[in-house]
Amino acid sequence: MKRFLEVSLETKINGILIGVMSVIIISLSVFYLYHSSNEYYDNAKRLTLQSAKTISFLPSITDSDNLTDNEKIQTLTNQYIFENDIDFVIVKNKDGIILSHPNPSLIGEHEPYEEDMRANIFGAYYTTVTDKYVEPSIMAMAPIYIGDEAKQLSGVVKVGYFESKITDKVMNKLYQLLYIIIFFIILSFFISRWFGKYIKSETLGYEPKQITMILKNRENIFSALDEGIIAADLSGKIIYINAAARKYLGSSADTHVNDNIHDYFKNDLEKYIEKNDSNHGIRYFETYLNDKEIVVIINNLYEKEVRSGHVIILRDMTEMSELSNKLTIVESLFDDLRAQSHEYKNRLHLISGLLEMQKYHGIRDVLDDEIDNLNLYEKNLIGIEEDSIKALLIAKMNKATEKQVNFKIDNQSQMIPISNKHKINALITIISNLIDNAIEAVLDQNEPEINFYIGYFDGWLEIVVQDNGSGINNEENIFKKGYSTKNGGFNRGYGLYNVTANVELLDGYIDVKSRNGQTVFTVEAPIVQEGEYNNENPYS
Amino acid sequence: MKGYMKIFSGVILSTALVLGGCSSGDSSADSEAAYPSKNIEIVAPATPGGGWDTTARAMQNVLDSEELVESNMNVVNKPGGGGEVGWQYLKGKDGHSLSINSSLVIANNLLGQSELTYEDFTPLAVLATEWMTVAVPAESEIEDGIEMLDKLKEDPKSLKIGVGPALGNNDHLSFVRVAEDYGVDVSQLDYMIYESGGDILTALMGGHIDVATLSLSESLEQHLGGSINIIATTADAPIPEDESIQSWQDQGIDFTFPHWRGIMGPPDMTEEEIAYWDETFAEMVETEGWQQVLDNNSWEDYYMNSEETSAFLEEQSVMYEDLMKKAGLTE
Repeated sequence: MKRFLEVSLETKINGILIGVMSVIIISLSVFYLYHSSNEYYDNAKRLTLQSAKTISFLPSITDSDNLTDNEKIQTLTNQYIFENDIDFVIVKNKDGIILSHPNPSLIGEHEPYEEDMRANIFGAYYTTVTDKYVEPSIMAMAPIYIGDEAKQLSGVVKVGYFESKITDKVMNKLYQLLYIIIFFIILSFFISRWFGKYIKSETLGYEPKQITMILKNRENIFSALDEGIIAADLSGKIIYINAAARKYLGSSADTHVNDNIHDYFKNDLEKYIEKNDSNHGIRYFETYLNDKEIVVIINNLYEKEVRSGHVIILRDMTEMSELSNKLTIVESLFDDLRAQSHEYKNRLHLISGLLEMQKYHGIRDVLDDEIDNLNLYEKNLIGIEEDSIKALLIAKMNKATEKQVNFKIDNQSQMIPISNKHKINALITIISNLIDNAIEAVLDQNEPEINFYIGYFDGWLEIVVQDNGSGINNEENIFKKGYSTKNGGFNRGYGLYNVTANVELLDGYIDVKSRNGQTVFTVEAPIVQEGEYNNENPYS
Repeated sequence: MKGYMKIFSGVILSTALVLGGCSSGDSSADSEAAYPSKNIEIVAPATPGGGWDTTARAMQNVLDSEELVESNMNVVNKPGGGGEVGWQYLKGKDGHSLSINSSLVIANNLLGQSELTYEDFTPLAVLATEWMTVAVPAESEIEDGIEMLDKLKEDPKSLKIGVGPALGNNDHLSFVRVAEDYGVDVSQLDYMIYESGGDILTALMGGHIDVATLSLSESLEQHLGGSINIIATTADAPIPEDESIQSWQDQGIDFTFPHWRGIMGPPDMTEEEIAYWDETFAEMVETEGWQQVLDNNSWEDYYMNSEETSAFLEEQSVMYEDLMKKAGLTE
């Protein structure tokens, strides 16, 4: 049975349809045939019995003086056979002498009463099946009564109907039916073929087992992914969600299917979904979900060229942005080292030259200058306790020095350590980009100068970067992705976009003012101090 | 599956409603007027003077005189076809027509003379039974049953046997059984068939037939009057009116045969109608008048109510079928 079922879907459908239809058609035909052959049989019985009765009551028989005039009776019965659909008539008198018979040579002979006994003794009218005469027949018996006032049973009429005639009629019916059966089976064959094909086209030619396999594989593959994948319809109802996405969305519920996707992203997602302009409908934005920095990529789903929903891919960026920030710092330090080694080489050349000229005071001046320089660094950075920001600032300072840019850190700058990595990452991105932009902006000035301030007051962090560059013409557009005042547009213009994105992540504000040859970027963001996380009872 | 159940129960429900509607219609019609609401018609499916006619008139008489039935009762004679004509007539009537019946209601169908069976009617009661007799004219040479059987054994055609109203009735069957047992070639017996017992008596006394098989009620009066001579009965006890009458048992042939008569109604009589007649007949058979009828006709009380009658008819049907299939073919 199992092996029998292991055939293709099309074969199964064909088999079932053709099978069921054939069974129905054939059983109906068999029933019809059975019914009609019964009817033929009953008709034959009725016909023979009626004929036997009629003959037994014919005046020419009942008047025939105790059934003696053979010839008269024979003429009568022959005529009757000719006029009716019966095959033979036998008339016997009480003594069993045959008066009429299909075989004329038997007329006048004696035939003992056997199957016709009941008619002879009890005057019964009945039918029987016999092969006593000519061929198997249905035969009806009727007693012959003679007399008016007092009737006398004086003989028996037997009327036969050949069974072969019934068989012929049934066979005729069968042939007719066969055409119909064949027609309908062929019809059912075509219908099932068409239906099988139709089903197959609906399943894209896949067998049910394959479809199951594909679905299982999809589940496995998607579960194995680190990226969260969510499919949602236009209303935002989640149709599919994989394990990683569940993890990112968090919440206690085991399944998120049928939830509304917007419940998890507030307004962000809706905002971006509406934005259907660029990049073949692919949109992305960054957000925080359960303290994780997540890039959300939105893709349209189409069914027959009509947008039917969205696929949302969640990519965890926490580690990556951490790494990239570290890389930024390392890169800056590397630049710093190079610049410093270059500087020192120059100083060493200078000292070596002064030694040559034996100008020892000059040497001392150079050394003092160098030591002052170091102290200045230290002095202005002393209020900045956050190491990664400090490192970043040192690196930027050196980069600026190398580019002949006067980079000053306000000596009022201060910064407490921050344990929240997301915030540090965001701050690093903000600071790094602002300083880099500033450095680039001032490069073509005569006396390039950058002032940097970072401060912390009453839970709010303030970062100010001031440069004396050429200024900004279009203060509206600079925060947009891809906007750049610089040449060689490709892959540029992300700096300020990233800054704004990160400022938004911190729920802060960015402001830019450009006038009198001074451009000032001010970033303000709320920052929670260490230990204030757990402030359910601030007085404890 | 649930869907199928819904459809199925729907069909059942609608059927029940339709049936319920029908039956409530019937009962409301009944409750309009208590049964019987009009004249009662008793069909005697034979000419006046025979056993069926006698039964019908005796019954009418008793029911009327004892005031068991308030409605007027008429006896209607519908002779022909061995009861067939009367019973066909009854079949088309309502519950106010009844008919006398006997074993012929079973035998006719077995003989192919009728499409009707006892199942087409509503059996109401078996009223009485009597014994079959074989009679010869008073002046006949034949003195007893054995002598007659000997004659027939020698030449089955030597005697003309009167029987009625049709072959296959109890009169005939009982005669065939005895003859067959005795070794007579029953297929050669020469019967004269008359419409009723009265006709047979006339023929017997007129010398048209040599022997007649009749019920005791039909033959006893003429026997006592001396115009015919009963030479055998199918009784198992002496006949009180004339204890000299010999039964087949007395003559050494172990054979008894009750000839019952009953009453039936048209098909589909209601429970109330059946209950009415059950009550009425149960009372009737207890009355003095009915006892008198039994005595007068040499019948014996054989009362069964409608339920018992149904079972009895079924039993009889099997017996008759058996008898007919074997007769004449035993050798």
